[in-house]
Amino acid sequence: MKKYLYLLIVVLFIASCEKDNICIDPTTPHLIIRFYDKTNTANLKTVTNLKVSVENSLNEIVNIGAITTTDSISLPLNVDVDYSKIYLTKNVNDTSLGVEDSFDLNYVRDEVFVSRSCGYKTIYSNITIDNTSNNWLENIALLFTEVNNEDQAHIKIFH
Amino acid sequence: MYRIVLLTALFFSIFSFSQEIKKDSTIIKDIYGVRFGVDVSNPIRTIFNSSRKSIEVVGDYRINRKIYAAAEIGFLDNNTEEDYINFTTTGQYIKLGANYNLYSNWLDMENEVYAGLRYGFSTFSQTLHNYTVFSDIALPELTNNEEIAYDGLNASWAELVFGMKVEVYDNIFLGASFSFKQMINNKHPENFQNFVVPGFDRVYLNNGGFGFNYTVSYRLPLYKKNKIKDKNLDKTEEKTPKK
Repeated sequence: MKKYLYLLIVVLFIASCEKDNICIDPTTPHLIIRFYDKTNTANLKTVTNLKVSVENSLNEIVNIGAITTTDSISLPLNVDVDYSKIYLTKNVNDTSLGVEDSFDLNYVRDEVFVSRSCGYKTIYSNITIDNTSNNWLENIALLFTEVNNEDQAHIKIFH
Repeated sequence: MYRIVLLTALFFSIFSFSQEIKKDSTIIKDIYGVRFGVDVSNPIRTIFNSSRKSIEVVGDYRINRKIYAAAEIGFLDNNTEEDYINFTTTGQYIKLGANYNLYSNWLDMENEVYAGLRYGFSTFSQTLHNYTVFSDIALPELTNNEEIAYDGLNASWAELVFGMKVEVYDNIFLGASFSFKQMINNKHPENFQNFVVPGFDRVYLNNGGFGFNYTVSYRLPLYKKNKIKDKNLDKTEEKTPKK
């Protein structure tokens, strides 16, 4: 009789472990941008001291991440409105050389179920780019009209 | 004084023991009948967790010395609040199966330590009250408060049950059981999942689950059968029972 009781207690302990309480699945994908050389378009080209900002639905311009020198960035898009205005400023530490460019992304949002702990994620489709300024950006190429993963770049920027 | 009490107690225990042995030589009859009961764990859980309301009635019918056909029927209304989703599951379930008594009873005692199998089936609906999507801490998240109802869902599963039942008074039994569950079929709606199923409770990532219940039941005795008569059912019965 006693051994059955022990078995019952052990079983209760094992079974009460909960594995799906923490959100570890990929949720809303970020937009991935890679920077290319405008003359030699196959080559990546780094942007020095790049500041990335996004205008949110409250019309606030918020900085994304730290200022870096990089040839690729990943930035979040608004999940509550169908557009995101993106600001890219290079040489941000240098007042004389600092140049800002911006462009608008318009899209359709869909909410897709992920998991118990993560809930839903937003995926973006029918993406279009408008109102591009060309202070240091030469050209923007939209590679995919959907952002539903972070496996590859969605946008190429030539500068 | 203490010694005298001890000796008296010892004497009486030997006395009563020898009486039971005498009784052993007479024909012992097992009672066969149908047992009805209610689960008391669910109302207790509701006291501590008001978002979970559930009732379950249980029943079994003795087929032979060792085997009892068993069933549970219940209802669940449960609200689940997660970080990014909030939903309610409402529905009913039935579980059908059998228990095999592993316990060798002394004399005419009718206790059980059993292992059992169940097939469970539930029909239910889910209501998603709200969900929140987010992208980055820098950007506002979006909470959708539009209620979405998912009706006509069903699920079926298998259960492995371990439990015990003790006769505490004539025909009144207290029971406790624990079960491992594995989903066989879980029809989930598009763009949502069934994380809670009535009768199954929480569905874990591997489609497994577990449950327990505590029952109080009454046995309606129908007829008696000689215990010795179907001794050939289990040879181990002839040995002295283990403690």
